[in-house]
Amino acid sequence: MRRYIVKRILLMLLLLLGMSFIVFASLYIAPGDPATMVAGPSATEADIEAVRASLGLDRPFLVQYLLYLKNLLTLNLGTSYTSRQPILDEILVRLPNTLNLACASMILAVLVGIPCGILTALKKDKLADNILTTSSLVGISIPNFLLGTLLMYVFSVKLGWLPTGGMTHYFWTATGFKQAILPAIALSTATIASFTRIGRSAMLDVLQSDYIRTAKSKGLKRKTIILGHALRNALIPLVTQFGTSFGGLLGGAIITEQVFVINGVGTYLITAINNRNYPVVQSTVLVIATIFILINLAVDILYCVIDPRISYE
Amino acid sequence: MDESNKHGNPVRAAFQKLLQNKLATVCFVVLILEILLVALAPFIAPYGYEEQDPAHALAPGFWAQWTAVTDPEDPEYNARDQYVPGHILGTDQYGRDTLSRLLYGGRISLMVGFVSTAMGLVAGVICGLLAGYYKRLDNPIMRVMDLLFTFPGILLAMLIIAMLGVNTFNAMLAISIWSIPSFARMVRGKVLQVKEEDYIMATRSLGAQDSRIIFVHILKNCLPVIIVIATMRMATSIISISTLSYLGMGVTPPMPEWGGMIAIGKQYLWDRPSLIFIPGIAVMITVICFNILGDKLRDILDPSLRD
Amino acid sequence: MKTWKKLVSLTAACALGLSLLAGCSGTTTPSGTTPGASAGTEGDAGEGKMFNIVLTAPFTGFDPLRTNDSASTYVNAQIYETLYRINPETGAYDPLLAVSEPEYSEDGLTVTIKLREGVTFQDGTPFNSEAVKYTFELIQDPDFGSARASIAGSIESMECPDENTIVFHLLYEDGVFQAKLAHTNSAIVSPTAQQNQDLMTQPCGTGPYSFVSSVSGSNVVLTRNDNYWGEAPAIKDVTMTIISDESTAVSRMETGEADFMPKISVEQLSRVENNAGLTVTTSEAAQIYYLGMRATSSVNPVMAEKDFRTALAMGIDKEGYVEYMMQGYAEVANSVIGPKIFGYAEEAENHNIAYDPEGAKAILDAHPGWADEEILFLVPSTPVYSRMGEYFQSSLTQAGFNNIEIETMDWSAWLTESKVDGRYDITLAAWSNVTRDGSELMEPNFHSVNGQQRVRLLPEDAALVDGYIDASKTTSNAEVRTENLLNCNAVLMDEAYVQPIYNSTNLFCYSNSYTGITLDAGGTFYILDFDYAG
Repeated sequence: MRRYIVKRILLMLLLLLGMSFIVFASLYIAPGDPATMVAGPSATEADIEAVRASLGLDRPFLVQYLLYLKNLLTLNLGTSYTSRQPILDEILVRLPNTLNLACASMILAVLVGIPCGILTALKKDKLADNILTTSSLVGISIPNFLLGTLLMYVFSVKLGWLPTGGMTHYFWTATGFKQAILPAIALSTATIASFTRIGRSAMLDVLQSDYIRTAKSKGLKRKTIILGHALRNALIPLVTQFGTSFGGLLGGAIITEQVFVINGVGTYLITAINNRNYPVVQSTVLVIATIFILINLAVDILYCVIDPRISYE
Repeated sequence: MDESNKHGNPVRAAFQKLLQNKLATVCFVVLILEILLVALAPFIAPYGYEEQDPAHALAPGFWAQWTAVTDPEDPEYNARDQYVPGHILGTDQYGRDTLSRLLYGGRISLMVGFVSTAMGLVAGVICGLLAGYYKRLDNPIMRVMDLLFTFPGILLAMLIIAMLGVNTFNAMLAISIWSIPSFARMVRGKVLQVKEEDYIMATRSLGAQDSRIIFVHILKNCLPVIIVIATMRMATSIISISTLSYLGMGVTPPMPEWGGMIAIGKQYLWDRPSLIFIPGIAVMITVICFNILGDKLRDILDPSLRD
Repeated sequence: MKTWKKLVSLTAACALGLSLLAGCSGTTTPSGTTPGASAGTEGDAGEGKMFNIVLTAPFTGFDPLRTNDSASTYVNAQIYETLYRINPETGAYDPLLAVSEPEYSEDGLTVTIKLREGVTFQDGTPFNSEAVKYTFELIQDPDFGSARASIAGSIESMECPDENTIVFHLLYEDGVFQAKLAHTNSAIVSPTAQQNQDLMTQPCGTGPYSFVSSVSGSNVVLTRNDNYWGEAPAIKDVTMTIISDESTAVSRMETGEADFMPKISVEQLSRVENNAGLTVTTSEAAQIYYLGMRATSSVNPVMAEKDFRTALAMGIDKEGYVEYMMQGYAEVANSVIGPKIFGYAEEAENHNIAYDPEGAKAILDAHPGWADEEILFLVPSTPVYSRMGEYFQSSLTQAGFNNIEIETMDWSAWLTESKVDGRYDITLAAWSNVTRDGSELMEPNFHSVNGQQRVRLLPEDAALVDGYIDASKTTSNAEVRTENLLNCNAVLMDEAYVQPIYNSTNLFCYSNSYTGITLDAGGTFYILDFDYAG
């Protein structure tokens, strides 16, 4: 088990290394020049060259890349071209906002998706099942930026109940809740839909298994059967889905941040891509990928823990 | 669908079964209608998609004849809220006709969805074949597929576009990469299955012909499932291109695209929300139809794909 | 049971991890800047009421020597000061940290300036000639990374004969020198502060407002500098918040959460025009938008023909654009050097090629094949430019050009490709500069020393233009400079290399609880001048 974790971590480092090189190289060959972006459109050629030299862009590609890697070892994620500040600091200011949104959405998805999944399994083929299943299909069909905009229109513009964006407090505070609820709903619909579907099929499989039939024949109450036994087994595929969904949530958060004007990592990344702010793009992608891989690793371990039947060599 | 029924056309049989489901039929018809409409855009659109009419900017659509105050004498009368005959669905901030842009935009959205799914299909099938056929390639290819499958796709797409530049073709490329793993996984599974079966046959017949037989055999088996996956990926691709256009990384203006139109509309959320609703509804209907169609097809063709 | 225990402990570990992360990076807002605790809704105007400004673009940092994006300039204009500042009405350079006009030596190579006494930086360090020398040496330092190194480009050395006098020794007679001393990128910084801290996050200047706090990408808080040498500003506390979506920013104005929006686009006007609590107004700007042409396109020899370019210029409906697309919130430009720029004289407008679709058609008819020539029109894909691109494409088509091809690219790509890519024939561009000096307009855009250009002239005309620009830069005689700049303008216009389109106006919006709110031609504002209404 320990060897497995170590192997996975090594694999993760290798992946991150490869990704950093690809990102670095791809931005290097992309059209557009950070020095011109920083110097502005009214600059003379001499001004642009001066900025270029100060950013270290006149050094060869490999030198720049190796320097970047060396810095990574000391957790120095580099310096932003525009603000000249350590990127790690800038990310740390923004990361709580993104995680705030992602967590709020995940909690919402769990609270709504899993019960829906169980319900549709228990009421299979009845009206409730059809409605909920079709709703979940509709849920994955609406792009989250569209849903976010529509929610904003109804609740912020027309009704004025909720603010039109921004995020200044955590979602468990009163102000923070009002700020987070709309983006969380917009972001979580796809995850709710997938939890519902997977919960449904997992629950159905389990309910039809011999194990449960035995319990039923033993005369145990239906409620005990469901909550005690079936649920625990149905949780297993849901846990796997958790990891995949979190990736989707991180990706979706990037977009939702644009809609609701949230100062998070997604906005940071998009602005940096537009400005050819290479170091910011590299480091932000690296940070997001690391979080994402760590969550998946945690999920794999959790999976192992929940189901002792599974073992890894 | 059991493996023994390899004779006859599995696709046609599935199709007939599909039409028995009312919901699926409706979706199918809606999609065909949509494709027809946008294909005929140059002929049926009342205006060009870049024709500006600044005197009638931000005009509402035909519903304004009933919802707005039309009497000029009335103190509530607002000239900007009047329906402009000719612009059935209203206009945007430059006076460009929304209906025309919707039709032309649909061409882009659907075309990008189709092409990127097709590209993903081809690449995915090739990867799956290679992974299933050559044992040494199996592990590396499938690890990459796993990563692609679970990594936030939109991030990947944004990076590719940042690398290659913002234009429609690059957006198609970026989105197609996201579709590859689904096809690859499925094809690889089939290859592994079929390899087992026919190996015995293969030892008895001429060596060189095997690969061709296996390929043809595999693809014929895969076809129904490819259709299911392709349908679902169409839905995802359309969402992806509209998301990218919303972020400004998809189709460049003045070319309309539903996501881009929604981005513009957001600026006028207060003034003219129909600029968001109209392309928004178009996206939703299209994607829902593809998803429902794909869902029903999966039920018919291969329920084992549910997870 | 063992399974559940493991599960619980793992969940606890994750929760701990998350809360550690949350803890170490603090809350998402700095103290004292909770939203909703802002102006508008609390009682009546007076001391203690926070002045809320909303910015639609993010600032990058607070070092005036290394940033020149507009948002950072808005902040730095409150914290720092330059030696001179442009008078918004007269256009003259008023002494600010200087006390009088510069004294030039006979040969123009030595410039002596007397500095204001009794001024201190916000960290207590005295302002003196050493600080000025320090600042300019910093700008010249190649390792420093200044945003406008050319500001100090003409300085050979400096002397500080006493605390309040600075002497510049120039390499050549620099006609633009005083303008450079009014440029926001030459604001004087505190040497002590600059050496001990990073001005990008902890600024320190001589201005009327000091820095309090800032959250990267989110907001910045300033407060009145009680040791300011000049008249104390009326407004005490200021917060500038970044809301990058304009319609959301406007709704903050509507609810009163924000008091001032220094840049609002024409499309949002309908929301605020009829709002009783808000005022929307304009101020003249020094920004010009123009159509640039290339006579030396690598693929299209017809562009070398002056008549062809003239026909193109005739096909640009500038008046229509300003009237319909900008709803009149701009001034049609009839010369490269606009009325607010040094070097302008009315006669500059005599070279204008007016919109004349019939004239264009006549030229095209006289030359068979010209109407069908493919013209590659490069347009950056930002909202402002793509709107212009489409409008003028249709305007040119109506003037008889059958084959205008638009190629778009995103802003960053356009900045480089528009200079480097030899294929296209015409492009849209803009210019603005805090100095509002004609040489500063001409040189970066039209002088061949800059290598590959957006606008490309035929060799003989390029030589002429270079000559005029150089002559305008190397003398401080205002008349000589103006004459050369006018000549330069004449060449560019007569030979149809540039078709100026419009001079923008600054459109801004503020709450009626305040008064005295204006912007200068560069779009900068000074909160020093604002006051509470009533």
